Amino acid sequence: MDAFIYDHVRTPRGKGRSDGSLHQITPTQLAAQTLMALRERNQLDTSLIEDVILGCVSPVGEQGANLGRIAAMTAQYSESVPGQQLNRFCASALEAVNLGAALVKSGEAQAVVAGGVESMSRVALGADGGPWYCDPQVTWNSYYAPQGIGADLIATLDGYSREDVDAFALESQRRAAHAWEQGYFDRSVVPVRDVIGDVGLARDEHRRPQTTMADLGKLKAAFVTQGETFGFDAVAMARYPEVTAINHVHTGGNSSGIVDGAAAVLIGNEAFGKATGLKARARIKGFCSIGSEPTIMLTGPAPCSQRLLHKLGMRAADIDLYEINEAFASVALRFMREMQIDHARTNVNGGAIALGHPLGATGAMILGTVLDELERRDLSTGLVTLCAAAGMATATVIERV
Amino acid sequence: MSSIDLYVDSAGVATVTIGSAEQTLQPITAQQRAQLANVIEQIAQDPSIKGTVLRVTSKAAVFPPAELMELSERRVTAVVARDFAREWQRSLRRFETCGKPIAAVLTGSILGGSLDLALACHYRVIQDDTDTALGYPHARIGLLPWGGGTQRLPRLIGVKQALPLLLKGTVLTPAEALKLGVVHAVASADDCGEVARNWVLNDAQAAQPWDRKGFRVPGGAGPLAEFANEQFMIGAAQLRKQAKETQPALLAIMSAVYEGTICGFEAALAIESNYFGKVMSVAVTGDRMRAALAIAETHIANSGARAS
Repeated sequence: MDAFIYDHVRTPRGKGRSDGSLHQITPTQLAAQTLMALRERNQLDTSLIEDVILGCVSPVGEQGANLGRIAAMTAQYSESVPGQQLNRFCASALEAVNLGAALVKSGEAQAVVAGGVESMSRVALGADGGPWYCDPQVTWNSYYAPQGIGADLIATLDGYSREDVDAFALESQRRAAHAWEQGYFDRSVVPVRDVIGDVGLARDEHRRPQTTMADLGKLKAAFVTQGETFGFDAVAMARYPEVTAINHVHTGGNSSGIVDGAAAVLIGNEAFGKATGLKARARIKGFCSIGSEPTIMLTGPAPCSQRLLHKLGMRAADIDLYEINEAFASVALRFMREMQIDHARTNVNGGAIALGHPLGATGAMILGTVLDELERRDLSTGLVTLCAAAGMATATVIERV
Repeated sequence: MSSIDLYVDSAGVATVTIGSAEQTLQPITAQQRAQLANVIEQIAQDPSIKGTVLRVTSKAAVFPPAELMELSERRVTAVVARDFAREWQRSLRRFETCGKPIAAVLTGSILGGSLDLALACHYRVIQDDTDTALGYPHARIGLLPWGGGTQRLPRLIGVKQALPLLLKGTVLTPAEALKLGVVHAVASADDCGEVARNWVLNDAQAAQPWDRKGFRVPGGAGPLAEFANEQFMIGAAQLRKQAKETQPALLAIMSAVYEGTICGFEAALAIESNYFGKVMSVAVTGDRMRAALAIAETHIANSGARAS
C-alpha cells in the first residue's frame, strides 16, 4: 500500500533567542498551530487522523509530556486522535514522517499527521541533561565530542578551507533570499499568531540576505574553545589518530541557525484521498535510518542515502532534487562529494544556515521544501536527509504523483 | 600503638584516641577497625555517654597502603575489592548513625583512612600548625577513596568544590580546609580538645546533614545542575586530554561523584565501592601502585620525611 503526502505546513523560523519573534509563543502553541493549519486548509475531518507524531529533541519542561497528544488536543482535533513524541535528535521530524508513512503503508492506519516542533529560545539545546553528553561513563567510552568539533573534523579530513565553507554559506543565504522574494515558500509557510490572534511572525527571520564573503570572513571560529580549552579536539584526535590538528573553520555564519519552529505533514493512503476528496501530492517511496561513527557524528547522510537508494533500486542520478540539512557547511559539502552530486540539485532554495534549524522540526520542513520545489519545477523525485547526534542519519525518498 | 583508648569524663564526654605522631593511619589497620567498632558499640549503648571527642593523629602516609598492594598482587576480582571497601564503609556508617554526636580533633597528616574517619564524625576541629594537613591524595597514584570520601565530601562542600579536589588529590592546609567547609573549626594544639568538647556539650547533633530529612546536595547534583556541563561534560574530556587512557581511577572518581550524588547515601556508598572494585581489578592500577611505592620508599630512604 502507498503512503501519500497530501499536504504540509511549517511555521516561519523565529530567532532562537529571547529577542526572537516566536520567543513568546509556547511550544504547544507552535505545534498546535501547524495542526490547525492542516485542518483548515484541507477542511479536514480530524477524526480520520489516527495518530499525531511529533519530533522534539529537548522533550523536557515545556516540551515534555508528549506534545503530540497535547498539541492535538490544543488544536481541537477530535478527541479520538492519539499522539506521540519521538526523538531521533535532529532527524526527529523526518523520522516522524517515516514512522507515519510506515503505519499507512502497512495498512495499520489510514492517515496520520507527522512533523515536529522545537522552541530553542524557551527550551535550550541540552536542557534535558542527557547521558550522551553528561554521563562520564558514556562520554568517555563513546569518545563524545560536541557537534561543532565533528563538523570541523570533517572539514579537516576533507580539506575544506574557511573560504570553502563560507562560500557555501553565502550561497545558502542567496538561495533563501531568492526563494522568499519569489514567493516559493508562500504556499506552505503559515504565520504564527499570538493569543489574541495577531500575527507574531510570517517570514523566516534568521536570514541575513545582505551578507558578504567579507562579513562571513570576519566571524570568529566558534569551536576553538571547545576544542582546545575544553579538550574535545584531543578526544576527536584520539579517535582519529591520523589527524594531528583540527582546522576550526565553522562559525555562527556557516553553521545552522538556532531557531524556533514547527512543521506538520498530512500523510494518508489512497482511501483517505477518496474519503476526503484531497489530492495526493507525492508518494513516500521509502526511508531508512542508520548509525555511524559517533565522534565525527555528522557523516551519516551519504551512507544512509546510498543504502536507501540501493534498497529502492535507484541511483543518485535518479533523484531530481536533494535536501541535506545544513547542520554545518562541511556536512553538506561532504554529502555532495560522497554522493557525487552537484550543488545545482541540492538545497536549491537555501538551507538551515540561512533559515535556521529548529531541531525537532527541520526534517519535516525540508521535506515540505523539496516537495514544493519539485512541483514548481515539475520534477519527479526528491531525497531528504539529515545527520543526527551520536552518528545517526535518516533519509526519505519521495516521488510526485 | 595498637590499642584505642576510651576515657569518659564526669560530664559524660567520652574521649577516644586513635593514632599518634609516629603512626600513619592510612589505612586504618584491620585490628584498629575492629577496636573502633567495639568502642562505637560501647559508646552507643552506654547511657552515661553524652557524646564523643575522637582524637585522630596521623603521621605522613606512605602510599600506597599495604593492604591494597596485597589485593592487587592477588589479582582480586572487582567484587572482592568492592567487598573490601564495603566493610570499611559499613564501620563508618555505624559511626555516624550510632545516635551519639562525635567531634573529631585532627592532628598531623589526615589523609585517606584518617580523613574517612573525620568525615564520618559530626564535627571537625583541625589543629593549626604547619605539620597538619587534610586531603585525599589517591588520584595521584591511580586510586580513589573507598571510605565514603567521594560521597561525603561533595555532600559537605558541594560537587563543584569537591570534585576538583578529588581529581587532583589536593591536600589542604587547616586554613583552606576551614574556608572550604571541610572542617568546622581551626584551633591551636592546646585549644582543640576544648573546642570539640564544648561542641559536644552545647551544640551537638548526632545526625549528618545527609541523614536528615529534606537534605539536598549543596549546589545541586546530576546532569541538570548548574555546574554539570563544566564538571562532567567538559571534565570528562579534560581527563582524556590530561591522562590519556592510563588512569582509570580519574574516570572512576568522576563517575562515582556524578552517579553517587544523584542517589541517596546508601546507594551512593554502593556506587563508590563498585567503582573502587572496578579500578582495583585492572592491571594498570597495580602497576601504578608499585611504581608509587618504589618512589615513596626511595624518599623515605633518603630523607625520613613525609612521602606523599
